[in-house]
Amino acid sequence: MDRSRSIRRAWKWVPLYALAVPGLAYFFINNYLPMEGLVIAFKSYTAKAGIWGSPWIGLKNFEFLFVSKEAWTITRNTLGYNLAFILVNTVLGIALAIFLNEIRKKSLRKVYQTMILLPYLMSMVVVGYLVTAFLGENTGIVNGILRSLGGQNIQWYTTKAYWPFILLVVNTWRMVGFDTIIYLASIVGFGDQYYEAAEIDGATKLQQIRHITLPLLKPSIVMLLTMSMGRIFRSDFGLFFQVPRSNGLLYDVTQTIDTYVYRALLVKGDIGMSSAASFYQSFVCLAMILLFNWMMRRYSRENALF
Amino acid sequence: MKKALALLFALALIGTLAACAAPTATTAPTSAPTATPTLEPPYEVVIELINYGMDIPDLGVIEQKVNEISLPKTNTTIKFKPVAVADQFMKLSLWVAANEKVDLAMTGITTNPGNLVAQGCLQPITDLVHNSPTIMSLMGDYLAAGTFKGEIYAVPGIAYPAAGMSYLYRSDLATQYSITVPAHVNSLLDLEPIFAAVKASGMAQYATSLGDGKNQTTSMMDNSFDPLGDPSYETNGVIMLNDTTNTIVDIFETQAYHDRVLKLRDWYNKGYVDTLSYSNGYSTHDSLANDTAFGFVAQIGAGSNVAYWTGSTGKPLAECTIGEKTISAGGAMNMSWGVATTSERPDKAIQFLELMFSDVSVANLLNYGIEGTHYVRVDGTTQVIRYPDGKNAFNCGYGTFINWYGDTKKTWVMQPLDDKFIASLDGFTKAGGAKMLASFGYSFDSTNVKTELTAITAVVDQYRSPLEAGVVADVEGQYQAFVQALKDANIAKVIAENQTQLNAWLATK
Repeated sequence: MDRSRSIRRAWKWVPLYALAVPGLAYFFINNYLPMEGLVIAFKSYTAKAGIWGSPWIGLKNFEFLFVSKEAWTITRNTLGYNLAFILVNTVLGIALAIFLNEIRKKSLRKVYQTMILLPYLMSMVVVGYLVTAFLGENTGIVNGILRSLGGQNIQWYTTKAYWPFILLVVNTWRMVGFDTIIYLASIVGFGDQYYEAAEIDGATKLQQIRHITLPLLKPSIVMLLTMSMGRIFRSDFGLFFQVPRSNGLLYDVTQTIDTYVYRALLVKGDIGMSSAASFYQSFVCLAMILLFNWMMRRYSRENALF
Repeated sequence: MKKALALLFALALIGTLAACAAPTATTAPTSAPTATPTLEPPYEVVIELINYGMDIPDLGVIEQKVNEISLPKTNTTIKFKPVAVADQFMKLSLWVAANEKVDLAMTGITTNPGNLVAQGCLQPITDLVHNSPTIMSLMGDYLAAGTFKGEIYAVPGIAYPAAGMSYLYRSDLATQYSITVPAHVNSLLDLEPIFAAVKASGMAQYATSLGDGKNQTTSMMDNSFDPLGDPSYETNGVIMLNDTTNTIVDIFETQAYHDRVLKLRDWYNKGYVDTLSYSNGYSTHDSLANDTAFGFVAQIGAGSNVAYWTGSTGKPLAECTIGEKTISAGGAMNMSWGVATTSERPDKAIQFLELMFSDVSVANLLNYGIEGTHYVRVDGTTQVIRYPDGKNAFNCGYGTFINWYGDTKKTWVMQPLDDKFIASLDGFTKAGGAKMLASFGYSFDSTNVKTELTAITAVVDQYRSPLEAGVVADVEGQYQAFVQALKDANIAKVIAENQTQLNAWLATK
């Protein structure tokens, strides 16, 4: 009796799980099956011998990531930029989502929403040219403004000091829309009753945000943060390669692990070494996710993702 | 938490959709079925066709026309395997890994035969080549460039492999401002008075452009060194041509290089070079094409001569040659043919290659397609053709990336090249006076120093282009940092390894 009821209850969920099947199949085929190729990172791969036929060489493929003097620079840049991006995108994303939610006129809200999201859909090559339109030495908009105010041209593309900020601004402009949409979707789902109750009790807008919106947003924030942690040792190749124009003078502040691997291996096209780099990145990212989640569990169990 | 999980699924779904929408790797156009699959004997030679990755609609027709000649002569038919030039290496190594049949593989352009041999993609063809009279007489000494460990793996595709450098300048502006440029100088430095004259003449153009500093070294160093089979990246060390002891050195550490980058900065300061090309990402010939430069230094080869650059920049150009022409293994292998390990009948593949070099109508079909459809002859010339009216490489139905099938001297040439181009070809041979480099036929096996090479490559990529574009104010500081970074990356170990291998190779010669 008891058993049949539980079976019947489980049966109820089958259609829902069926909905997930295409997505799961995609993940299995696209993300799990190719993992066999991870062994290439530990092999001296040649096309003729194939993946399993090539000889094992232990960790030799990984050496190039650590022996170079650049190792510190690329690690610092990759992690540093990612932390800054995560922080700024989270704070701005939440702020923008709250602002958007306060707009009463629906059509206007849609317009703003689209405008914020639009850069997210742009190719980095195009973004690179847009940035040049602003920062070009003689033709750029920014230098044009400086000149009309009686100032001097600034050589943006040859001065290192500006680039951490330029990259931060470009990344935020491009990526913040995505976070905003997710937060906005959560906020819209909260329903009006909390806010109506708060209003009756005389809470100000700021108090409502602080005591209702933010606490309710916590699960979404934790989830997006955990997912960002999973990408913390990968960098947006387009951003760091296209936007600074692959300019050697700026490498100290624009070289990340992805661009370094690309540049160092471009000539030789060594599949083993590039796999090793990717393996190392995945390993660090996995460690970061686990670490972050473990910290979350310690701090507030019910908000941890898993 | 349930909500968060639901959100997670939603995100995953968005990710899936985005992945679908993103432009995935361009799929190679499928070629039309072969015309005559007869009983058993004729062998189908699968031949790589490098292109820009666009659709080539008339492949089937060309295959059919070629088969009409090759079937009676060599009992072979051909089948094109189109490859986008960007995927060249990846595609070939994947085909070999998947045991997919490829007979004639293009081993130059973005790949090199040494690497392909190391990857196990090519098979030795020594005897087959020795039995092919046309290939032997055309390529002769150049065959050493495709020889590894005593076996021939690749055959040069062009019998005119020399390369030199020239200062190409606007002939119209030279006349207008009465600037006389000599026809030949020994060094780039000899052009300094001309640059000064251009500056003094008051024309709007800079005397020259250093471009975005990418791949400059060879041209700015007067072609004065032997890159040891590594034509564009001097990461393995080089031999300076004035050194007869075959000592490999780090070119960036030489006095000559040091002096040259100081000179380039001097020119930059004096206003001889386009100061914006670096930050705008213009190459040297971009600066000429967009009217900011009077001239530029170009590498000149059989295919990239004045006529080619005139067409590419759209400006009337005249030439001043600099230094001497040399023949390097890299140059000879720039377009070359090998037989993939997955070929079932290497003998048939080489037979077809021989036919391609001996039968000009086969070569013309492969290069340009069918007369009247894909090209028309130009009146009053012997070998010049052009696209039919209203057609170009992208819409004529058979636009390929290379027109180097067969013996270039006998095939048609496409405008803007002209009959003079054919006449000039002999100047790009050993017989025509070009200097064979001492290391010709030597190739460096970098397996033992892979790790060091990646670090060196990254260092060169970082420091070289700004120095060679003249945009660094503190040349001395940047230069010292460059040399130090190369030392830190252990370039000494690479050079020592290279020298050991070179000495061993020289001993067997």
